[in-house]
Amino acid sequence: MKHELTCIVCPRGCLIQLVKEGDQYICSGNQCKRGEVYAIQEVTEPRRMLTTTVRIEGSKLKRLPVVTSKAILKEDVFKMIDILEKIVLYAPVQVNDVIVSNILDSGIDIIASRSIKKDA
Amino acid sequence: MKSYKCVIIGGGSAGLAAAIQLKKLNIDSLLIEKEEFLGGILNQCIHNGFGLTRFKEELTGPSYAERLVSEFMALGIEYHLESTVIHLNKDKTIEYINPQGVHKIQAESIVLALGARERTRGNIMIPGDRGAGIWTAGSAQKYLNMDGYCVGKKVFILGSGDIGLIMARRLTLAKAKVVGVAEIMPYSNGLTRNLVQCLYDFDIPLHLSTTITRINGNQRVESIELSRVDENLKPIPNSEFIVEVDAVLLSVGLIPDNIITEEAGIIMDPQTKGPRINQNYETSIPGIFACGNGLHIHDVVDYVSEEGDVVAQSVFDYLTQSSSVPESINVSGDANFIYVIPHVIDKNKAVKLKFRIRRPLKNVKVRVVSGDEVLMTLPKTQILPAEMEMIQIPLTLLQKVKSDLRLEIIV
Amino acid sequence: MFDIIIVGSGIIGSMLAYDLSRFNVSVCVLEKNVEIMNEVSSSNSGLIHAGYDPEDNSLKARLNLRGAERYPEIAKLLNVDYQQVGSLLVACTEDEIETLNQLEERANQRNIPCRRVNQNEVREMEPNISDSVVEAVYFPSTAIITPWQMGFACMNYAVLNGVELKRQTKVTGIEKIESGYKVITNKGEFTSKVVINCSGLMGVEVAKYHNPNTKHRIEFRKGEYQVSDVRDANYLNHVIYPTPSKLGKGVLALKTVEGNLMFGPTSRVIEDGYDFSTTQSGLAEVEEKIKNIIKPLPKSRMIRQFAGVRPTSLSKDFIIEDLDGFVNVIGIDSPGLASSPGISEYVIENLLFKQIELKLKEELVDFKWKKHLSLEERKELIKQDARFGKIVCVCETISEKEILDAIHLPVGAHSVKGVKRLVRPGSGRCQGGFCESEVVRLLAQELNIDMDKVPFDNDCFLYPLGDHNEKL
Repeated sequence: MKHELTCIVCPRGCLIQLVKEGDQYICSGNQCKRGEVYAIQEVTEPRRMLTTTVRIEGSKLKRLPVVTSKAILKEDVFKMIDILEKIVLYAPVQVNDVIVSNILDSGIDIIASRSIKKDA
Repeated sequence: MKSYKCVIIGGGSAGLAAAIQLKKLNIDSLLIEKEEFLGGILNQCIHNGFGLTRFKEELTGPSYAERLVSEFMALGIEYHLESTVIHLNKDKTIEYINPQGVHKIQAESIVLALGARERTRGNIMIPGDRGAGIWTAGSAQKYLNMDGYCVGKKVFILGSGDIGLIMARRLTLAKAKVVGVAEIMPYSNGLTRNLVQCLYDFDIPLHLSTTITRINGNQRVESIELSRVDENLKPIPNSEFIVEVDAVLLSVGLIPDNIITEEAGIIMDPQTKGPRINQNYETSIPGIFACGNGLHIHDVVDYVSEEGDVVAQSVFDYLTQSSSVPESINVSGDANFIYVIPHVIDKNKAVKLKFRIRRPLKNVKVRVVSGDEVLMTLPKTQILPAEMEMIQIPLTLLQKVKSDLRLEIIV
Repeated sequence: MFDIIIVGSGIIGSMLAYDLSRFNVSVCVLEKNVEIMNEVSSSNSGLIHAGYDPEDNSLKARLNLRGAERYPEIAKLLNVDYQQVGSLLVACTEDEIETLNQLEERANQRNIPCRRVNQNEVREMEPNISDSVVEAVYFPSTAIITPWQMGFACMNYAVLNGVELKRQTKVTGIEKIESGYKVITNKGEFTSKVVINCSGLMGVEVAKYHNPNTKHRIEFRKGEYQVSDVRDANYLNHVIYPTPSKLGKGVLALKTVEGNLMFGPTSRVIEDGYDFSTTQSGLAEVEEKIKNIIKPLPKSRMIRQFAGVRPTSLSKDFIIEDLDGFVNVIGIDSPGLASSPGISEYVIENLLFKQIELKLKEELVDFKWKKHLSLEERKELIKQDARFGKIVCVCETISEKEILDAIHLPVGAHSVKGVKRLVRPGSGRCQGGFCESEVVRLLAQELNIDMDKVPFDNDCFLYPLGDHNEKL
């Protein structure tokens, strides 16, 4: 099974080829070890940081920007969006407050990306 | 008329950094900001990728802004919000309007941290209808991230720079369908990371060497006409194809917003669209300095704030009259360069030159020359127009300069 | 039953409403769009032409002159912008000089002030005139106005003096009844003794509702324009006209009241009257032709392009007729804006007088337009209301309160485009990039609706997040 992907770890953007041989992945095209680590991760368990906004009341600002505490499974992105769409928060909120703890049982939290004062 | 040692116009990532650094140097300043909040455009850039250099962490735009704002507030620096500067005068007086009135103040020194605006449909003259549904990417970003409204259900984006790519992802996560992204150049301007995570992740097609040649839809956008372009970026006849959309986002460039700068008679650089500066980031009016996106367009916010730091030091030197008389050298780049700044440097001061080149280059050397003499050669495996580059020029090299300093690209 | 129903609130309908509101008659204006002045009347050159251009013995000639005569007094009463900047009619060739002679002759016959200007003087008067210009005629009486400002001021005055305005009300049929007419619309039926059809692009359609066998035919002509940023205001001192041709006045160079420069219009026949789109070839034509009369501005100074459509009668003159109380005022193309006070007066004095008793009211309510604030004025106003100091549109220095006032006029702006026309946010260099969302928020707040219900022109345009369940 052969995979080809562009590495994003540094601006070089190496085109990496991954070939699975038994349990191992043979990696070529990368110019550093980080690329190999990324490529294997990306092929076996692709993960993404998710940033979005959540509705907030009690402040002049209507949306609270949020971010995942760690990279989540790529396949879970829209499931998390669905959950976050239904939330209504109330000001005040502090940056790094946990908005949703252990979302989708992932061990990852959704945290506030900024503080919003009440009626700020 | 009230007088200030330093007035900083703009409370975004450049202005805040300058104010903070100035306070650390024991200079009290007044910061004037047009919005109801500090932080500038960062507040709507909810994605991450900011702060890796400055804070050694990967932060979202609002988090980065909050770092700066918290430090700013903790230092007790004077600031006015909802304050729009309408005149900057040669004598360093500033007139501004806010809900408290119309004010005129005198500044001993000024930092211009004005930021940028987006290039519009009218600037690039796309013919067609003028109904609803046509926005710059930043404008759509504001609706989405600040107001909570999505601008369309079937969106097309013109421009594959990072702002366009980020919005492609943002809209997809907001459940709109991003039908495609067109890029007039034969390559994308954005970071590879963004191409992967904003386009490839969602199977959004990228049409290179393609541009929008017409927008259709009387009351609202209904479709767009795309055309392939040739090597001169001119539409190729009979290459048109129609795509049905209900919104078009334009991510076709940022322009430093220098209306008050121009009105003050400060000498501008038509290439950067910002003021001409010396190594102290001082403009043609002594005591008026510029930094950030208002000086030239950046792509990494950490370097924007760094410019704010540098300018603060320059203001300090200016106010304490500890700047020495410079031995001025003009700086320029060959035809490969869009611009090189600072435009004028001091032979007696090490300097970091910043530049952008016109087209992507691989495996080249950047040469620093003065007259016939090559002072420095820097090999580069890759330089992109989308990335502002920097070269540190040490004092020892500058001492060898006879006349002007020139940057050249050797293939 | 109304005395008069006016169909269409472009400049003709607005001027008629203004004039008629001073008489003891009941008037109702029907407008199919959200805003008045929305179509032909908002996408033209904004010029009060001197009046030498129309053919002899035409309604256009007569009414352009009369309209131009009436404008200063109307502008003063309503406190709207009216600037007599004067114009230069320029010639580049021998043939054109010949045409110049004829037009100068005609101007003299019509007592329009003018004088010949030679090569040197034209350059003194207008430093950025094209090098190809060899001679010109100067007309000091040409004026510029802001058409929608004029129309809105007229309609506000009219409504304050008893005229009723019905927005989003589209005429779908007209029936003759005993004492007049029944006008059928999407919002119900209205009756009146007299109907005035000044519906612009819909002119013939509405005329057909009254008389399906009408012989009137209208051709639609698109005119495209380029607009520059206000910082180039001093590039021109006058309106510059090329020597006219069969197609019309040609591509002009002018300065607007606000200080933008406008180049255009082209003149191309189109099928669909509602095609307000600009075209590659049209904009290129403006760029080409403008070089004949002025030294061109660099392309980078252009901030906007737009197109207007004029309804041109095939008879080449205004169609103004009374058909037993159904008055057609259609085919109003150039010099329609300049003629509108003349047209209104003509309709009232010659046509309506026969149908309805018109007695002047004894008491009238005054209306004064609020023009763009000077810094001094703003200083004072902020003391009364801090929102005059909360600047929403940085490009044009427009405050929140000015936007709110425009929304709350008796006839105010109820859409994004309306706010843009009346108070300018969105007209500057950022073209609404920074301020549009704030304008939408203010409209939502003042009209008591959600942001996604605020119309851009006639329709709303935003989707609230989470609202994507419908199939695309």
